Amino acid sequence: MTTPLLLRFVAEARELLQAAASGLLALEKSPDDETIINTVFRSVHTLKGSVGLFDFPAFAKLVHAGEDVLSAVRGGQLSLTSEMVDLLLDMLDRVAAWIDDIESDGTLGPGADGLSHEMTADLRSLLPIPAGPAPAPDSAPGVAAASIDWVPDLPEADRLDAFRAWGTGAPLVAIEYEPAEDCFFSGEDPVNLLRQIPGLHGLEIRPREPWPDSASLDPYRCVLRLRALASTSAETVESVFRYVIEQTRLGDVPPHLLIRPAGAPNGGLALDDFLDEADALVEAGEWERLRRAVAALTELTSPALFAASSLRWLAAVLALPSPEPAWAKALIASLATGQAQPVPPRGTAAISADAAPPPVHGSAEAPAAPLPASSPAGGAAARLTPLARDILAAQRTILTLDLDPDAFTLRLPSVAHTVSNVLGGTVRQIDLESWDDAVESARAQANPGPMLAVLAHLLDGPDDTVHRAAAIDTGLAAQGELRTTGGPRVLKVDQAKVDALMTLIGELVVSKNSLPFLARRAESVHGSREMAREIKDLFAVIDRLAQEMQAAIMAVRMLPVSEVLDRFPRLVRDVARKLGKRVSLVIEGEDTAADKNIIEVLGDPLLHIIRNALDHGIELPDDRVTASKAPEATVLIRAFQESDQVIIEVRDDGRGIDPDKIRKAAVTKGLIDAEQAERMSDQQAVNLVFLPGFSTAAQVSDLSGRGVGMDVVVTAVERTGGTVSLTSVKGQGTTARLSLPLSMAVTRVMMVEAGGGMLFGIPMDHIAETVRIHRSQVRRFKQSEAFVLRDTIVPLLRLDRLLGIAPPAWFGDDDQEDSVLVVRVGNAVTGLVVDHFREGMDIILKPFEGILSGIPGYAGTALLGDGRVLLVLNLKELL
Amino acid sequence: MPIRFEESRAVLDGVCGVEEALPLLEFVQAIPDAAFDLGSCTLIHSAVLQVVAASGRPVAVPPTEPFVVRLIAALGEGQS
Repeated sequence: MTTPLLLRFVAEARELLQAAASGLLALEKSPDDETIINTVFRSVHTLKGSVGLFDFPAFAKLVHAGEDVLSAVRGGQLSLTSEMVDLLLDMLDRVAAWIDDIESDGTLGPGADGLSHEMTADLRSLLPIPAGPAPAPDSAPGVAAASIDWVPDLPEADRLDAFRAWGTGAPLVAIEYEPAEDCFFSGEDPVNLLRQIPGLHGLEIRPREPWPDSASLDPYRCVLRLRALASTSAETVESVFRYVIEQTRLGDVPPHLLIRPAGAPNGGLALDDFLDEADALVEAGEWERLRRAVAALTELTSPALFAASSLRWLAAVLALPSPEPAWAKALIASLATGQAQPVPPRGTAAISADAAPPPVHGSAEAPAAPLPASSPAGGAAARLTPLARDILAAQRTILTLDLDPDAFTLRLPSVAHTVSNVLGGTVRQIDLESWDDAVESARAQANPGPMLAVLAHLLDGPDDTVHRAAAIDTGLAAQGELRTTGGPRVLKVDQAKVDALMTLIGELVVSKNSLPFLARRAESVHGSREMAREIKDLFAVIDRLAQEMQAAIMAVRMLPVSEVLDRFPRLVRDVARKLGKRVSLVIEGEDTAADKNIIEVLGDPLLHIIRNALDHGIELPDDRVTASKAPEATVLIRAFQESDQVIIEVRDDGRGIDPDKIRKAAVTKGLIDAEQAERMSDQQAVNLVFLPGFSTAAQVSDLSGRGVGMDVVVTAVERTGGTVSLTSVKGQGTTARLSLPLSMAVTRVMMVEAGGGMLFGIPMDHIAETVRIHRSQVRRFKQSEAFVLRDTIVPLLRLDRLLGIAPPAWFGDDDQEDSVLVVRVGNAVTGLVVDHFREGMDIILKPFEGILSGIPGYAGTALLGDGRVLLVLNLKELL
Repeated sequence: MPIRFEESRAVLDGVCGVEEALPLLEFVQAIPDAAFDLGSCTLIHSAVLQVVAASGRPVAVPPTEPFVVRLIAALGEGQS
């Protein structure tokens, strides 16, 4: 069920949700920030588009409702409140949960429809007008509409035709088409494309620049500008021009623009009687009588005269089912003055002839109604998201597979359905229609040709640069920053691939390490010192390259800590609201980078620390005021790099930790005895909270203190080789400090020999020192051994015994010395007896896998330069 | 050949495709008083129409095919 497509959707959806959630939080603080609201809207909008590819109606419905609310906020019809943010965040949570469900089993899980219905209703209830259709988000604002000022210059007959067509209810559309200069080379014939426009009324063909003289004319360079007036819907025109839609502009034509009488001057025509009567008839609405009067006068008038033209128009206006009085009046005024009078847009109050402004020539200057952008002009390809493009490309591949007709018929419905869904989510209706047509004809011909043609148009449209596509995909390009243009180019790579590279580099490092062995052999076995030196030279070069490569790969794996920190604003907000506390979260240094594995480990410990801070550390607003602090507490998360460690500090200005309370609690719980408690410094006492099973919360709360203490934090952090410390000043706040290694990739170990020649690696950070002690210095207490190191008793353990290897036979005397590795695990110092110390080295540690992974005592293995496997010990588990 | 050249007349006959544009232009360049006969032209390619329009020479025999009539009319004054 989980297809690669679905997996990509899941990954994309998560990103979008994260972006939307953090945007919402930012928006709550600054509700008027248009950039943020656009980001949030865009995320939700894109999510809605993507989910349309799949059959998750509940999901799509909910996201759509959210989009509508955001759209209303964006359009200024709604102002954002905390409750709305809550609802929207709930929606995002719901969707996130569904995404998890989808990822695990490809469905939304039980009850999705009901949940979606409820939340959708909640969201819709926020909308100002009873859930009216939201401003269509798919119409790209800022699309250039065709200019229509040429329309009145069309021949009168054409305009009259168009006007009559409008009178029968057809929409009027102006088309302005500027074919590309090289269009003849791509087989286009712009002029004859116009043939296909149904209801074509007027046509104007002009050069875009004055014609050159015929000697310098390039017949294959198209410089035509075509303008047409048609009585048909913009959609129909779009489908005619679908292959050149980006060269085409459409505009709605208000019918009054057509009405413009023209002709020779009237020259002493006796119109007075008619004029007197006509005005009265218009006032009275006696259209039928006026019609007859007009017809009678027309017969008496020479057709070429201006008056005849005015009468023709008047007749046309009167032929309308409900004539527009203002138009009739304007035409009567034109008749009276002998010059064209401006014709007002439909529905405006009638202007009487006396009050008419001075005559103007051409109603081009008449008030033109603002043109709704009836057509987005961008190429179809420009409106596809990268995901949608991938899907379409996949469908194209399916169609081009060598199939016999039967198999094709089988596949056709699924391809048709998938593409329709993609188009439904992202592209305009028009493309959808042309697709449906193509499917029909492909079905009829049992040949994918027509479908391929549409796909090719969609995918390889003139605007097919991916960057623009991504920028325009949500149709918001005009509204603000472009998401991808100009930014650094980012490549998304599966982590496994980077890990594979890492492994390869590791192996390269290991193989490189065998060169010194080879050099030694060249010298000792073959006696060629020269050869040995050359090998060493070569080694130096390879060593440098390998190190650089390793550094480069590590850099690839580095992620900013913001990856984990991003979710905290939401968490802090929710928790604080729940607890009735006022908290502002400040994050500093979110750009600090660390290895992906480290970043991933960081999430849970930080979560725990922050929850603890909110729950136990920060006081209620009233208590804070009593303690003369600001009612709003601050939690600061600060990340920075310190040598090869990443430090993350979580500092709150709450009540701090009371060391005495901690001491008492620890004693009560039996973790330490009273005497120990007495001896502890305050700092040590504070750190007692890290002990397993420690929790000071008086009551178990919903948030933290569920019996899982800070020891979880310590365990998680120490697993990565990091440390946690806690400092606190009573009444002023607590700081938790996590320090983690930048990368877990390379581990420095010391090799030791034990069990008669077996090699073991011990992580260097545990090793305090190496000493050699006389056997006589070893003290025995019953079964255990110990020795004194600088006046401290250090327990002594034998590595071979620990590992269950038979100890070497005891030869000789007490004069012999034992090699003792003094190691520090936690706060305890232990001596580890080994056979021999060997060199320290950098290794790439590979944890045990499969059946071996359960074996305690080992951190993993590493390969040595000479091909041997080094077992690296995990001293914490071993001791 | 959809275009015949008869002395100073270019007779466009039937479907005039894009490939006719160049010979027509050469004809117009060579014959100063050239005129067009569109009487039997049924389809005129944009490139050919462009030559007709750019040359500014008269259309001596107007077209009869309705759409071609329309196209020639759309070129505006001075063409018919």
